[in-house]
Amino acid sequence: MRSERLLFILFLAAFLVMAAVSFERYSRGVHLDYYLYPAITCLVSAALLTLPIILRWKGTLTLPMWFISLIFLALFLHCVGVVERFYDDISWWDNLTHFLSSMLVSAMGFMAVYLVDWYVEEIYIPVKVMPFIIVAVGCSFGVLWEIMEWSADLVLATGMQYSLDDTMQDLLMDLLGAFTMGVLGWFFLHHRSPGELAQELGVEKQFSRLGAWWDERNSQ
Amino acid sequence: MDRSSASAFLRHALLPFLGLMVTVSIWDQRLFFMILGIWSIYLIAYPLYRGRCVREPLMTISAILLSLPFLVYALDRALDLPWVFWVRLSELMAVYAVGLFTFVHLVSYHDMRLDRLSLVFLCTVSTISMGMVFMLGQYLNNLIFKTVFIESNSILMQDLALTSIGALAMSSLLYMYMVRKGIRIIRSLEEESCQEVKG
Repeated sequence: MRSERLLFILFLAAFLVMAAVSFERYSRGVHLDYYLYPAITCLVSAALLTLPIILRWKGTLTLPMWFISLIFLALFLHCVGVVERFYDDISWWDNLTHFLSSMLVSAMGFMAVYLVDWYVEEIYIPVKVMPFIIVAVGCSFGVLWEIMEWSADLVLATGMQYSLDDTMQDLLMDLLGAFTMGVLGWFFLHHRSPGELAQELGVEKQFSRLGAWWDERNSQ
Repeated sequence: MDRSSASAFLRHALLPFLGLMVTVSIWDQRLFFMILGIWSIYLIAYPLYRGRCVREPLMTISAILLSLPFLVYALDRALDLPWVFWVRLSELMAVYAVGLFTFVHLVSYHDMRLDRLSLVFLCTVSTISMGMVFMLGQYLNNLIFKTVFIESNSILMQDLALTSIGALAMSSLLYMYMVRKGIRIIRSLEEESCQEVKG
């Protein structure tokens, strides 16, 4: 428990250090765009990571450590890429972050669908179909993300999308990330029942209530 | 000829047409049509030869929608008409059809049970992801065969946006259809112990 807390503090400190680096650059007179956006990105990432940590401490949603570490890794690499401008300087950085983010989103989608399937009586999804759903959720999120970037470029001229090749590589990485999680999820399904997963996450009560509400809605 | 026989006849007739168009697409090095054609043949042939019964009118509508882009493709190839807009539209319609009916197929023949909400959610994500996979297919076509099916990032994003909006629209239509027909749960046809043999 103590080592876990220390690890979380280190995770959050890493974001604050990156934000501090951005602000320090501002004090040296670097252009606004070079510090404000990266600093905000770091602070928002820290806030995003705080949410699952607090939920775990409170016992509301005890996400496994590997999952919180994956969230940290995806957010931190994004922040480093923005602060140090690796997105511009290192060709594969964008691919790496897209791959990890896609894995993360697919894993979240997988857990939600797996538990809904278990707790809602009227829904039954065979194990063989589950990897397909994981991939579909990951890819859809990737597409929506690209549409968001494109819209931001059109409306705010943010310059988030560079070229056709770049967008296609992003989508390809999203597909690979989702596919990887689909394969991992398939193995996971054979080693952990939904009941065990719900117990591990500490969401048995919440999902039981959700399942009851869902079934009642269907029977009306 | 009654309605179900006519439907079965139509679906049977579409198979050789699709087979021919897949061959043509291989000849033309059109990766998109090749993948789409093979998957469409599976989606149409499975209910005809393996499924004991079919979910009508969804299966016939899906077969027609899946074949439509191939009809446009055949016309385009034979007459070389400047139909860029229609070709693109028909491709997008094919993506909608594949996305939606892949799930209808999975539910009908692979021991699945979904309610309205979960079916609509899964059809939407399935359609959007199919759209993405097909765009990647088009792009690979560009890279491997030096073709130009996606000219720019803007075209790609317009297609993806249209796919997403269309996916939501089609899923909403499906939801409204189920509400109108009073269908709450959509389950495997085997589980429904359907006695109707149509093939």
